[in-house]
Amino acid sequence: MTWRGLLALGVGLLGPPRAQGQTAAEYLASGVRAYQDLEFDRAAGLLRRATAPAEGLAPAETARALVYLGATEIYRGRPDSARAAFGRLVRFDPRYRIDGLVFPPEVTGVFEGVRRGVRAIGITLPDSLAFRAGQPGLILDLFPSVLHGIRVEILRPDGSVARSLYAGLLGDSLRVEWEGRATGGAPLPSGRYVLAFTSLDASGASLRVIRVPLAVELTLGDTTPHPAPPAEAALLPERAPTGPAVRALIAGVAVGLAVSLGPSLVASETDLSPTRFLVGASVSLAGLSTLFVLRPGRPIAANIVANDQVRAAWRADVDRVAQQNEALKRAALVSIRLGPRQVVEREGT
Amino acid sequence: MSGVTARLLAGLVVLPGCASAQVVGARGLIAGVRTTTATTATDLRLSGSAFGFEGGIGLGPAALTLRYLEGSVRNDSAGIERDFAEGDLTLWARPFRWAALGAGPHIRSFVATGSTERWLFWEIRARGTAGLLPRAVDAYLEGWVAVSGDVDVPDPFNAGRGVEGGLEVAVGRLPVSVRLRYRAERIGLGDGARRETTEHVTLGVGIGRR
Repeated sequence: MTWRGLLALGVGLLGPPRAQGQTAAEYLASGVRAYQDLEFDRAAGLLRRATAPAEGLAPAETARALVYLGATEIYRGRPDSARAAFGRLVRFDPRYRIDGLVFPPEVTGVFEGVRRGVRAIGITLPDSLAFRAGQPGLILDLFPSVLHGIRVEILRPDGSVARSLYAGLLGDSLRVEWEGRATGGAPLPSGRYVLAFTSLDASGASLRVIRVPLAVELTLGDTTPHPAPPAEAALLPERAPTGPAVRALIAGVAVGLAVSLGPSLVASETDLSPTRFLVGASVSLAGLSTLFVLRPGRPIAANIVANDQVRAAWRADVDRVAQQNEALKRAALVSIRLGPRQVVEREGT
Repeated sequence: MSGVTARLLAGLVVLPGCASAQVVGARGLIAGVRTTTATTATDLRLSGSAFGFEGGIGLGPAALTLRYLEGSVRNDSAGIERDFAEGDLTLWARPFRWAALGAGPHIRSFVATGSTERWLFWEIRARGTAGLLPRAVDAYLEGWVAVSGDVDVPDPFNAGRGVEGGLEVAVGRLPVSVRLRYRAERIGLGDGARRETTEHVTLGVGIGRR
């Protein structure tokens, strides 16, 4: 190894000494110039520094730094490092494509090989949003690095699925919409959730998960209380009462006895006609017959039908109010806030 | 009362129950009649049949009823036969749905060969009605006393009272009803020397709006 090689190794391991006030963008610019000057070891150190997470490079600049870093590592004869840089690039921006006019085929070929092997998803996400439940409020555009299976889910804090938004292959691009509802159609209650984008391997196992904290606040309109069931006073008796039959029986028997015996009081010394007993018995029998006609306790079909109509009307009112309330719930205002995304990689990927 | 009078009154004939039920209608009557004349010496019993009508008109708690019967009674063993006619006109007031009070004249005549007995009483009546089956079957009981009387027989009027009860049945949904009743009446003449007892068993069929 020459002194330049040792120097380059030192720069690569330790990085170049940071000049006071030098920014990540300046590291990137210096690294690109070093690359163009074929000072690959120096370029690698500068670009590595530029892509360090703490440097806070802008997204487009980060992608540029990573592609130059990968190309640099190829020319340094470090294909593994090159693939690692390109892997970072693909995960960082799955839609990124290397410009073939800028980089030679030996660079683009390695990149494409890496891209095809890394399953990553690019997502466009708003920071916050408010929409009516039932309307397509949250719109997620997904872009894959390569065709692969994915799941998009809203998870509760305990990890259970509150709503599955998509499960299937992600090819060129995919738009997923969420209308604010949980599985089953009810609005997702207020709370904290996680919007999870899971890339799957060929066997369907989770390979990589992008987790985005999701805070949901549901604002319901005023609902109407359910109507009270019909009061007893509003319902007709469904069984014949005992009172009228008993009263009719007593009245009939009393009048019958009076017809039979009363004339004897009026004309006590006279031998009266026995037909009065016939008439009296007729009246008493008529009173007795009321027990069989009125039949205390018998179901009164007309009243039962009328009461059923009253109850049916009440149930219809309850259903109508429930539907109105459900519509209010479904039209509730859903406010969401999305947090910073976290990426969870399966070990070994 | 003559047959002509009866026919004149036939245009306004109703049920005796109108006083308690406020009905307007007419009913034809067929009655079995028995009269018993008791004196210190003997009892004379005559029986026969009669036909007639009754009717009335009600307005609010007030009603006016008219009843008329004519026929004949006889005693074959004694060889006695008399034609008779009787009627009453009563003005009713109904303080309660089930009770009515009334007052009015009650006339009766017996015609035998060569002579006619005419009776006139002013009576006060009370009636109670019980609905056994709503709008279908009613039972009623009526009692009355004669507060004054004028009888063209040698014995002067002394006292009179009576009782009546029966049943009225509506026929289906038609404005037709059937009434069965029994009435007994006792008139005392003189110093209790003569007692006239009249019994009616009447069946009436008529139309009317309850």
